Amino acid sequence: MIMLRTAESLFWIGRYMERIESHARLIDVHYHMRHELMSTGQGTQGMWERLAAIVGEEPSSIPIHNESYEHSVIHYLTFERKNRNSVMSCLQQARENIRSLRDRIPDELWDVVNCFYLWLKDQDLHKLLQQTPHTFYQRVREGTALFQGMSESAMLWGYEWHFIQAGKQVERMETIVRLLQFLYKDGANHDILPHQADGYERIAVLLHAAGAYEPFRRFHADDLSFENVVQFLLFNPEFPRSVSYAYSRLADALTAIQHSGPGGEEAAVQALLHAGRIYTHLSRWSQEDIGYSPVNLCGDMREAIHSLAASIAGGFFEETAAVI
Amino acid sequence: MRSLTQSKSLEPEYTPYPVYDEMVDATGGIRLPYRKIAQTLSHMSLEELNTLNLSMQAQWVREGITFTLKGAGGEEDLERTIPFDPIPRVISSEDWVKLEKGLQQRVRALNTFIYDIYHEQHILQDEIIPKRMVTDNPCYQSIMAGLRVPRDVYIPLSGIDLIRDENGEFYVLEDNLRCPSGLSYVFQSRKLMKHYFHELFFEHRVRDLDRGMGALLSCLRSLAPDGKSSPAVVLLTPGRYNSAYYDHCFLARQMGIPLVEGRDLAVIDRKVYMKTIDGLQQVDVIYRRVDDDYLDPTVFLPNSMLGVPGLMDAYRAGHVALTNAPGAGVADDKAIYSYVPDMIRYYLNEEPLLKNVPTFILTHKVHREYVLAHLSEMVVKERFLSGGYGMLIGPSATREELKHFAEKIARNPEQYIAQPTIRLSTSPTLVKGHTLGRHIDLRAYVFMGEDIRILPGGLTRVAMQEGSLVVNSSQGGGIKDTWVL
Repeated sequence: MIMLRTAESLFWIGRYMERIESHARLIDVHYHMRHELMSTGQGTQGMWERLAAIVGEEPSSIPIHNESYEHSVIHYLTFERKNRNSVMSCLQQARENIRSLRDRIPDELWDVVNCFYLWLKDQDLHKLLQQTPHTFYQRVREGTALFQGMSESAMLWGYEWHFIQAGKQVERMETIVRLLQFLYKDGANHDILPHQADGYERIAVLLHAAGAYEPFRRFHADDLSFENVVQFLLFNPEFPRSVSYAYSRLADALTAIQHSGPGGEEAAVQALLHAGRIYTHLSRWSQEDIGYSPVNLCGDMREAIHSLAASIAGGFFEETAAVI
Repeated sequence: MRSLTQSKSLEPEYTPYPVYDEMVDATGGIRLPYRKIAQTLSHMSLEELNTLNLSMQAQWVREGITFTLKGAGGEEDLERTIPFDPIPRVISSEDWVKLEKGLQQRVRALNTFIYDIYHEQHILQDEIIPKRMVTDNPCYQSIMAGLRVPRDVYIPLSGIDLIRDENGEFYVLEDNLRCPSGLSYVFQSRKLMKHYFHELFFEHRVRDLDRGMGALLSCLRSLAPDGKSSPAVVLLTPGRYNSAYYDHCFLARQMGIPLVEGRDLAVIDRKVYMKTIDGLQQVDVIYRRVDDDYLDPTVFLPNSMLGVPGLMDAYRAGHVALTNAPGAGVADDKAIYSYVPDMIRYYLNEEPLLKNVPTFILTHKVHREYVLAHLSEMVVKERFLSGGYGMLIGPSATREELKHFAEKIARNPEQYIAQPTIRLSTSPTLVKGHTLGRHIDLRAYVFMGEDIRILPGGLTRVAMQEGSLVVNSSQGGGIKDTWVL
C-alpha cells in the first residue's frame, strides 16, 4: 500500500533513469558517427543542431559555451542544470525522488544512484573531453545499468517496482517514436526518401542511437533497408527497446498494479486502454508500406503515448475519495 | 599546558587549558574506561588513523547522511555532511547507572508538569513557578487545556542534553521535548564503528543499541486511541528540505512505518487518513516531526503548507494520537528549565539526582544586574530558540558583541536567560590529522510509554573548533559514537 505521491515519484524515477541512458547513447553516437552524419555535405553545426532537435530542444536557444557549437550542445545536454532534460538534471531529479522515498527503497539502490550522482557532479566539459567522450558516456550508461540491475535484484516486486517499470517503458516507447519521427521529418527536409540507398548512413546512425545495431544484425545479416530497421524497432519481440516489447512490459506492469489492490484497479484498466491504442497504431504501421508512411503516423503514436502518460497520472497520482 | 607523551599519535599539546578530559586525568594518566582505546591509538600511526577517518567520512557521504541548506534565489542547494570522529566517547557503567536514574526521574517530572499545566495547574497555584512564565509562553497551546492524552504521556521521545564540568560532574544543560533529532546518527555512528573500527569495538563490551527502535515503536503503538491493538502509526515529516530529513527517513525505515508529508494526509469526519493508491486508510498514531506552529493551518499558522487542515480537530475528538503532544514545548523553554529541580521535588517528593546548570532569569532585577556586570563570563541564550543560534558566549565574544547583547537584554529581558560559562569536558578528537582535546556534550534519548527507558549512550556531539563550546551540527559540530560499558 503506497501513497499517491510515492507512485508518481517512482514513475518518474523510471522515466528519468531511462532518459539519461538514451541521451547518453545519442550524444555518444553523434559524436563518433560524425562522418556518417556529415556525408550529405552538412557541417558539424547542422549535425549538432539535429541532435538538439531530436531530444526536443530548440537548437537556436542553446547558450554558446566555449565558443564552439558542438561543445555548447554537449554541455547543454549533459551538464546544464537550467536544462531540465540534461543528464545532470535528470539524475539530480531521480536522486531527489529516491531520497524522498528512502523509507521505501532499498539502501543499495540509493547507494548506486548517489554514487553515480556524486561522480557526475564532479565532471564538466573539460574532464569529459579529456577522458574522451566515449569513456565518459560509457560510464554514464554503466550508472544507469547499475540502477536497472540493482532495482531488479534488491527491490520487492510490489507497487514500487511496477511503477518504476511503467515509467521506464513509457519513456522507451517515446524515445523510439521520437527518433523515428525525426528521421522521417529529416528525410522529408533533405529530399532523401528513407528507403533510398543514400540514407544508409542515416539508418546506421539510427540503429546505433537506439542501441540496436548488433541486435538488428542478428536478424538481418545483410539487408540494412529502411523498412527492416523500422520494422525491427517497432515490432521485434526480442529487442528490449522495441516499441512493441516496451508495450508488453508496460501492460505487464499495469496489470500487476491492477491486481495489487482495490484502488489501483480502475486506474490500471484505464491506462491499459490507452496502452491499447498504441497497439492499434502499431498494427496500422505493419499494414501500410513503412517506407512511405507519413510523418503524422509518428505524430499519432506520440500523442497516444502522451495520453497514456496522462492517464497514468490522472488515474494513479490524483486523489480519490474512496475510503478503505 | 597538559601533555600526553605516551603515544605516537597523541599530540604533546592536547589541550591548552585545564579542563576535565574524558580520557586523561589531571596527572596525565589514562582513565580506566579508555585504557584500551589509548593503547590502540598509541599503536596506530597518524597516517593509519587519518586513512580510517577518510574512509568513514566517505561512507557517510555515500549513505547520504547529509542535510540540505537550501540555495538562495536559484542557487544550488548545499548538501553538507556532519563530521564524524572515529575516536569514541566512553561512559563507565557506574556513571551510566546514575545518569539513567536521573534521566528517568527528570522525564517523569517533566511529563507530570506538562499534564499539570494543561489541567489543574497546581504547580502554579502553589506558586512554585510564576504563572506568567507559563501563560505568556509562546509554546503554551490553549487548545490543549483539559484534553485527555493517551496514557497521559506527552513526551514519548525526549532528548536531554548533558555535560560535564571542570570537576567531572554531570549536569543537565537542556531539555528537548518537542522534536529531538539525532537518533539516526546514534545508530549510524555505531554502524560505522562496527564496520571500520571493529577491532577496537569488539575489544570492549559495549551496550547494544538495537533494541532501541523497537522500544520507540512500542511506545508509539501503546499511545493509540482506545487502545487499538494493531494501530496504524506514521511519521510525519516536513519533507526533504528539512535539515533533519535523514533522521526522519531512518526512523521510519527502522520502525517499518510509513513516512508521510502533510499533503499525504486528509482529515474527514474528524478522522485522519493516508491517501494511498488503494484509497484512504485511517491513521491512529502520528509521530510528528513538524513543529506545533506548522501542524494545522486551521488552528496555528494559516499559511503552513506542511501541516494537515483539521488535524487538531481530529486530535481533540480523540481519533488520532499526536506525539510528541502539541504544547509540550512549554516545558523545554530555557527559563522553565531552571525550575525542573523544583518540579522533581514538587511532583515526586524526591531530590533531583541530576543537577541543573545555575541559570539566571533575566526578568529578575537582581539576576539581570549581576549578569550585565559579568557578561563576559556568561553564556546568554534566547529562551525559545534551539540549534545554538542567537547565543552569546561571553569569554570568546568581542567588545562589540558584548555591548550589542547587553542592549538586547536591556530591551527584552524576558527573551533571554544566562548561565555561567561551563568549560565542558573534552574528549580526544581527530582534528586535521592530529589527536586533540575538543569539547563535547551528550544527548541522551529517553522513551516514555508504559515505562521509561533510556537508549544506552546517545549522541555525543563535539565542537570541532579549538576552544569552541558550541557543539550543534548547524554550527559545524561533529559526532562521536558513544559507548556505555
